[in-house]
Amino acid sequence: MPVHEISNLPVTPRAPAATDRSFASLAQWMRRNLFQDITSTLITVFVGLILLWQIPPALDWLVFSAVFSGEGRQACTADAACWIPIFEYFNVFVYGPYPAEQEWRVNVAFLLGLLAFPLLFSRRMPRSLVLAYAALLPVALWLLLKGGGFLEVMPSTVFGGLMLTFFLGTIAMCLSLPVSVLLALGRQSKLPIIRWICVIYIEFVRAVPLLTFLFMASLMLQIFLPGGMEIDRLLRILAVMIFVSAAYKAEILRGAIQALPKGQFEASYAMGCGYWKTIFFIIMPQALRNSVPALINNFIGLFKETTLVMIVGLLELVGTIRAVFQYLEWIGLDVEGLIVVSFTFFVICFSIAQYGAHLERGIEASRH
Amino acid sequence: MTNPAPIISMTAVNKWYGEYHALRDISLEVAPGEKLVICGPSGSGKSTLIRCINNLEQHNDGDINVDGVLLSEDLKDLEAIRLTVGMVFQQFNLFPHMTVLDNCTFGLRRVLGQSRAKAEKKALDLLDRVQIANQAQKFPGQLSGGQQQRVAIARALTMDPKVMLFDEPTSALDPEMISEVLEVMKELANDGMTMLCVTHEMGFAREVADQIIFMEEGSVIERNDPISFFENPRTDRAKKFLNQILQH
Repeated sequence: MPVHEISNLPVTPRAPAATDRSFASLAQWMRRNLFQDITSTLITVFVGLILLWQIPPALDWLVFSAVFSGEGRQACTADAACWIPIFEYFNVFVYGPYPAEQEWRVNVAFLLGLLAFPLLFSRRMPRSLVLAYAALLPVALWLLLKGGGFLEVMPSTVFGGLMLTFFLGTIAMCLSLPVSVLLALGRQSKLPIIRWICVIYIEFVRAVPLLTFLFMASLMLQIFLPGGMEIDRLLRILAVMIFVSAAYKAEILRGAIQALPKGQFEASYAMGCGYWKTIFFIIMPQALRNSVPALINNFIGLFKETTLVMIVGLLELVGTIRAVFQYLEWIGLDVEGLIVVSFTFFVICFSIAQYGAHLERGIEASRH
Repeated sequence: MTNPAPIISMTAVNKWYGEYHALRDISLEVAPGEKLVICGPSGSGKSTLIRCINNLEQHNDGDINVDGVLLSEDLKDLEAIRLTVGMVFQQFNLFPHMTVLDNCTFGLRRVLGQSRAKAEKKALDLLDRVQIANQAQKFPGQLSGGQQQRVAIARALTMDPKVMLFDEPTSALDPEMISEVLEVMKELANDGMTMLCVTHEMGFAREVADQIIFMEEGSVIERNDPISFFENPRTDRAKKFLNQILQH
């Protein structure tokens, strides 16, 4: 049919047909995935009944009967959630005891952290830019939140809440990876001294609980240091998190490096490429790719381990929330607080996991 | 007849793997432009021999001299030798995380420090020469074995080597892909490249080689021109080897 005739065709209304089609495909999807045979039909019905039974009361408790505003504890009801303290102490949960007039610094820090996501998720971004951002982010966060230069210096005692969780988690994640690369390479070094230092370090750190190191760093280190010399407490805690986590990552990476064919090194060497360039351009990109699932696992674990610092007296998000519900007025409302904590951690850890999935999709694409 | 200075000379080279004597007193000279095919039963030290030339294996004893540079512990000398000598491997050893084009620009950009534009122009010229320029944006895993090996040859050539080492370049290929790689190698030979090939392709050896080296148990036991080697090998061991390999 000539092109000019196409425009003369009667125009049929398409919308209803489209709805029919999507309804039909939904029915088809359900038949295929939910009601394929007797067993799956039974399971579908069973699970559906449980959901019907549990979800309405849960929603009722969380939202419909819940109290969102009011004056003090007497506004709460006994058989539904009471979100009043969450809103009332929102700023404490987010900023901890950070001075109110300096809170903009925390906001900028959060923004820098969020900015990492579009950078990480973009496929067109040059790798060097992403690496530079990851390398500078910890420094920027430290200068911004801790102060220095024209920014007022903040004592470590004003760090708390979600901001402390974010501060510890982000810096530890960014810095533990490069340390672990060096450890993994050192453990395979041809120089016996370097190899043995790395082996002993990794084996020692893995065999001692993180909590022990946190206690040592926050309590015992002062005893050993010469009088008058003091290392900032946050710095000590951060160092522990970075160096402990790096030992685990080093073993992940060592496995990934050893799994690469020896020919990858040889092909690079044969072109006159030196050791470090071979590592940087040929070996590490492949080793990191192959260890994405395990590394993401480790990153998520590390982020959740930031909650352990409350044992040595730093109140991050969980510690702050627990502290608020120690107030006589709000005692007994821990469940609401823990729901907020769980939700916050879920969002952050799920985002990290999604980044891992994103990386794996990219890698998959280059394999076919 | 004047002999030009050899581009590779090995003098009394020995190599041990623990107790195992892999190379025994190898002395060998290769003239510029000469094509050597190294053959022999498996485990005879053929690969070890050529891998010692660019120091992928370290010899224990003796001298290796490449284009006037003595192979030593000195990293400068080592780099100079590796830039003079290109290598093609049995398993291709392309970098799977890089496109074909990036594989070929890697050495130019990261070792020689050339700009991306300049490196890509040269890489595309060489990919064109091995007739694979249209695959430049693909990843190695998306190519056939023969195509990958041709990319590997192009990658080695980007560095303008004076000598090319081939370590069983067709042994990992399906039969129908062997000829496309051998064609590229023949062209390279016709262009006057100095080549050392470890290969079992006796047809290629007969056609291209100036000299054939036969090795057994770490020693060179025969060095001969191809016609004499195939028609009338000097040693019984070479005779037996040829019988076995040419039977099929």
